[in-house]
Amino acid sequence: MLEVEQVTKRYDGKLAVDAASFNARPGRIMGLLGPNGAGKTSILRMVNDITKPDSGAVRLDGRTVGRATQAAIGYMPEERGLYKNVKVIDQLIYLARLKGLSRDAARQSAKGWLETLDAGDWRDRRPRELSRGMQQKVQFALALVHSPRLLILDEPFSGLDPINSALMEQVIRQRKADGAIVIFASHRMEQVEGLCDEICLIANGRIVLDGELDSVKRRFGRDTVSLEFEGDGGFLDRLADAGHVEVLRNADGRAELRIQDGYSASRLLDAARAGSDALHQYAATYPTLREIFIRVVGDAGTEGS
Amino acid sequence: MLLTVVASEYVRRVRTKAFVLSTLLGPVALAVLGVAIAAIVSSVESESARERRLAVLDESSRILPALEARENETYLLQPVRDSIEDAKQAVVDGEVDVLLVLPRSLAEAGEPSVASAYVKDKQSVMAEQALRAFLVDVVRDVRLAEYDLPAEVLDTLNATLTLTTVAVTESGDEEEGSAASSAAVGVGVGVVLLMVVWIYGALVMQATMEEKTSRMAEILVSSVRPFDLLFGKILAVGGVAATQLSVWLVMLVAFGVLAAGVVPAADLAEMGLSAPAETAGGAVVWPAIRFDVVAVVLLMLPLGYLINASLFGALGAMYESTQEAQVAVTIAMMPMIVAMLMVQIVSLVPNSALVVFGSYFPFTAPVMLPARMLVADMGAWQVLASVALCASSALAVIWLAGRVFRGSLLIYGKKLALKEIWTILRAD
Repeated sequence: MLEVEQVTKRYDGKLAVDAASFNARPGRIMGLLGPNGAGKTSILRMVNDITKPDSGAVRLDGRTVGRATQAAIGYMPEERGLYKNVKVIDQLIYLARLKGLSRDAARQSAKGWLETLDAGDWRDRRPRELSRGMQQKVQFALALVHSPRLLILDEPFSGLDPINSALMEQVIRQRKADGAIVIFASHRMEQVEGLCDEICLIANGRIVLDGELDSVKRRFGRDTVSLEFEGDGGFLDRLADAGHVEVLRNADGRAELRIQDGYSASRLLDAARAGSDALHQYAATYPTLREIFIRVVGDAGTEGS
Repeated sequence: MLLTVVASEYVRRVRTKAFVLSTLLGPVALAVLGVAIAAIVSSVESESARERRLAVLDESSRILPALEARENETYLLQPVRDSIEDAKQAVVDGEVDVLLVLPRSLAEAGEPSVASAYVKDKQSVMAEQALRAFLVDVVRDVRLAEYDLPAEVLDTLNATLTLTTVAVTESGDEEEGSAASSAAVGVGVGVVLLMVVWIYGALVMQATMEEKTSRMAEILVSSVRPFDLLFGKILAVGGVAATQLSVWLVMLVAFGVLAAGVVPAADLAEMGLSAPAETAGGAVVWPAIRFDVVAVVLLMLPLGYLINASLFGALGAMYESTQEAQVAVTIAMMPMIVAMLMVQIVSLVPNSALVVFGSYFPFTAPVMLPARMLVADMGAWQVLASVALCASSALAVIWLAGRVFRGSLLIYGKKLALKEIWTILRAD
């Protein structure tokens, strides 16, 4: 288990992480979510023992993170990089060796992961010959090459096409099934919502909300309603003006609403039937993560997302 | 961990085409350059050796016979019988190469020595000097002849001097060797060190800069201590340097053996490639090989490399392009350049405060210490102190560079001010 306990970090007197605490468990995927500049990367660097916390502690399986735990962590930083002129396979072997694998094991593992990621053919290619998406996969392989106990992925899907995203997602789920701890950092909340078991929302260096994804959502209740209808949607404006609902989204006959206190889902259903030419769908759902985030920290917190 | 970094970095560099080409072609390029220079020199020599038609207008009529009496292969002398204008025309027409006008006063003792040479195209410096040398002795002899001096006096005037320097040490040993040759050895060591630092220091800088430009830094420091990474790179590039220098040395020796086998020794001597002993009668007296100096050079060369490579490594981590690093690199090179300048005065004032300081100061000692050992009588403890100081400074610089390296690696897109570097150095 990864334990982050009351961790604080300042850069040049500016508070980057403010008494952050959370746990990430084996066999679970944990999403560290928040806008750019919220402090995600600062936390991940401390988990990787690249920087030390000013106060607080980070432990992996009971041991304070340090040189020993680094070998058990696979890290795909947001700042992507590869040696431009070094063969893909050699980069993977080098990193695996740094993580403590023997020469043979490193070679075996590097080959294996490239096959798994459908990239076996590029083994002897150099990154400057590869497309961005291909480089991204090699980057992913770098984080996986020593089959780490803790897999940390910072914005793993950015710039990836749907097919490769799906492949990467599959691999991440497999690591989870194998009992690894997976941490996922992203500012694109809708992108990772389906993948996370647990979430940790972070804004301005502080953790504003954390827990199991389902229970977090449940906490906010089924007060979000999505509609599909025909008509001009004028009834939505009227409901909003009356203070009964908040319109989160409304375009092309699809709308997402949040029911305000004192109004009810059934009254909204009646109003929608009466106000539209035809009502195709009506569903009361949990709010999206993005929606929850806005509710917790306000719009200001999502700057840059 | 350190070994993994060293091995990977070393193999990556040695495997590049650039390394193979520069290693194999370096000596070839040098040889080509050497041959080219030799060709130019010999062409100039043959040009000056060519027989030149020299028309002489000798107003005193005393110098020309003396010139003619002299053996020479260069000048074909002919007196000018026409007017000076006609003689000049002959130069323009190419009938003669040089018109030499020797005024009457030239043969008179106590008169100013002014002669003129008229040529079609400007002469080379060498040709001019050769002509002057040809003329000056004759003019002197002609002028001296007026005094009717005894032969002994003339011999005295014409005496040549060979000076050998023998240093007497406290232990009573006598050591032959001129200050000039010691200085030459010092400068030689300095040039080699400076080249090693320049070429391979730049390579270390590239190697650390690469981590930033390739954005590999973050993933690497999550796997290996920044210090190991920096030190590994410095050692790997040092290994590359050692490999390249040894290959060159082997090629040089092989070439020497080959040349000695193919070309007769007499020809070698003519080419100036003979053993130093054979030229001992000449102006240069080589000092005997001082094994203590060799040992110090072999110790100080790697230490000097370590100190400077660490500085370059840290600079590489602070900047993202060679252009940005330019000013800092120039500053970092200063001590070495100062040492190169100072090494030339070592033989003049081996025990002056400046030279003594230079032979202890870690940034100049790698060059200054061996040079000073050759000309000054340094005690063993003094040499050891300088080496120890240099070694401990190397460790300190590596440690400092490691901290700067760690602190700057993850800072992208901004130049570091001194204040920030100070913050980095103090950070834990």
